[in-house]
Amino acid sequence: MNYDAALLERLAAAHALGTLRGRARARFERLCTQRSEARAARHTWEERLLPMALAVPAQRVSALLWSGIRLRLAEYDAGAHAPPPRALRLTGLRWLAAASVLAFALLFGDALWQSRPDWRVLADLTPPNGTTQWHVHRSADFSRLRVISIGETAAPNGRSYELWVLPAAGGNPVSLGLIPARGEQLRLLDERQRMLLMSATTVAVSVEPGGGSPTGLPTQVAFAAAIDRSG
Amino acid sequence: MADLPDNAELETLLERCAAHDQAALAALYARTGPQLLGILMRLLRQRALAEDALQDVFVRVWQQAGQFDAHRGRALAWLVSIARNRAIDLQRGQRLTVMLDAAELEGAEQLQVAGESERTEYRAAGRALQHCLGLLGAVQRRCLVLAYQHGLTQERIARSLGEPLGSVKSWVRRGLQSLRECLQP
Repeated sequence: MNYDAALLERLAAAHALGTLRGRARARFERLCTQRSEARAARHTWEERLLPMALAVPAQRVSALLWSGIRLRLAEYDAGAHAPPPRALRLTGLRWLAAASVLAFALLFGDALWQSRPDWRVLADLTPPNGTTQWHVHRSADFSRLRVISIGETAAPNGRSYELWVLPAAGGNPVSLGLIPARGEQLRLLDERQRMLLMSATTVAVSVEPGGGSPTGLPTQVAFAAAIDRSG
Repeated sequence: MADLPDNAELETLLERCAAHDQAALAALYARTGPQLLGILMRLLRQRALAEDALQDVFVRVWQQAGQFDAHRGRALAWLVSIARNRAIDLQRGQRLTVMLDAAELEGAEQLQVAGESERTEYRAAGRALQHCLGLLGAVQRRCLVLAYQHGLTQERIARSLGEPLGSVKSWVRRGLQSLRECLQP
């Protein structure tokens, strides 16, 4: 599509107002990552309409909410991303902070999970001639994944398993993050991952160097699994 | 309306978030969480869902703080846009249908703009928008307020007002065009 200045202006206005929905909204957001004039128009309209948002009465926030955010940050930082630089890995006070988050999770984790949206089965990850190693669940709106490891399933020689979605329309697989060797992991999906997952039929597991794919593409695909569409 | 935070303070906090300073995120949450929760509750209508969305918003802020560009707009506008986008995603993902009662529909005809903030940076923009919205026809203004503040789709606005969808789309388009002409420096 040919996006002239007038069209970008109209799309940006509708996006900021909230009337641009669905695929058109996702398309415009993608365009904003590619074209600075689309980004600029979007920011201008967000600024213009901001006073209407600020007129809405504020609401009291509970301490439990902040604790929930910290828990999600810990999950995020432990999850779908390359490991932090060595200097930032857990040491001293960081261990203490992580331990406090873990203690919080043990105390309040169930309550937080209970308040989450419904989880639906996305796929069972089962190697050829093997038993299921991980269950993958998704939230109803496809914005989150929960990967549950059954037993201990670390990749050999310090390598990592990584989960990918295969776009229904073809093209390169897109990473959904590393797969935990044990326990379970929650991760937020960005809009691109979410849209791909909504239409995809297959996910795949690859074996990667420790910390994840160095190229953004699978290094060695181990197996694929069908996405459950019954939920 | 909450006591709005100083933009420079928010920018500093976002810079620190980008450097993975969790204390800065906690401060940002304390300064903006109540206002963002209010916006999310207005759009999602359910406290539990809005609280869940608020947690997502701050995880996204943590992930994306490095992408905030102070030259492109105020920090609060960036935060509000993340919150609004999350609410719109949830409305769609959960097929949430926003229903308004008669009083809310009636109230949407009033000007709903924060123009009396103690901070001049927000006060000027608020008064300008209030002035420009006041120049619109009542039905145009109502459509814009229902879409922005209540998160209604154009289809839902048409059904709520008992008007044809084509008319609503036309009012929204012309309303935005008039706002642009009025607000342009």
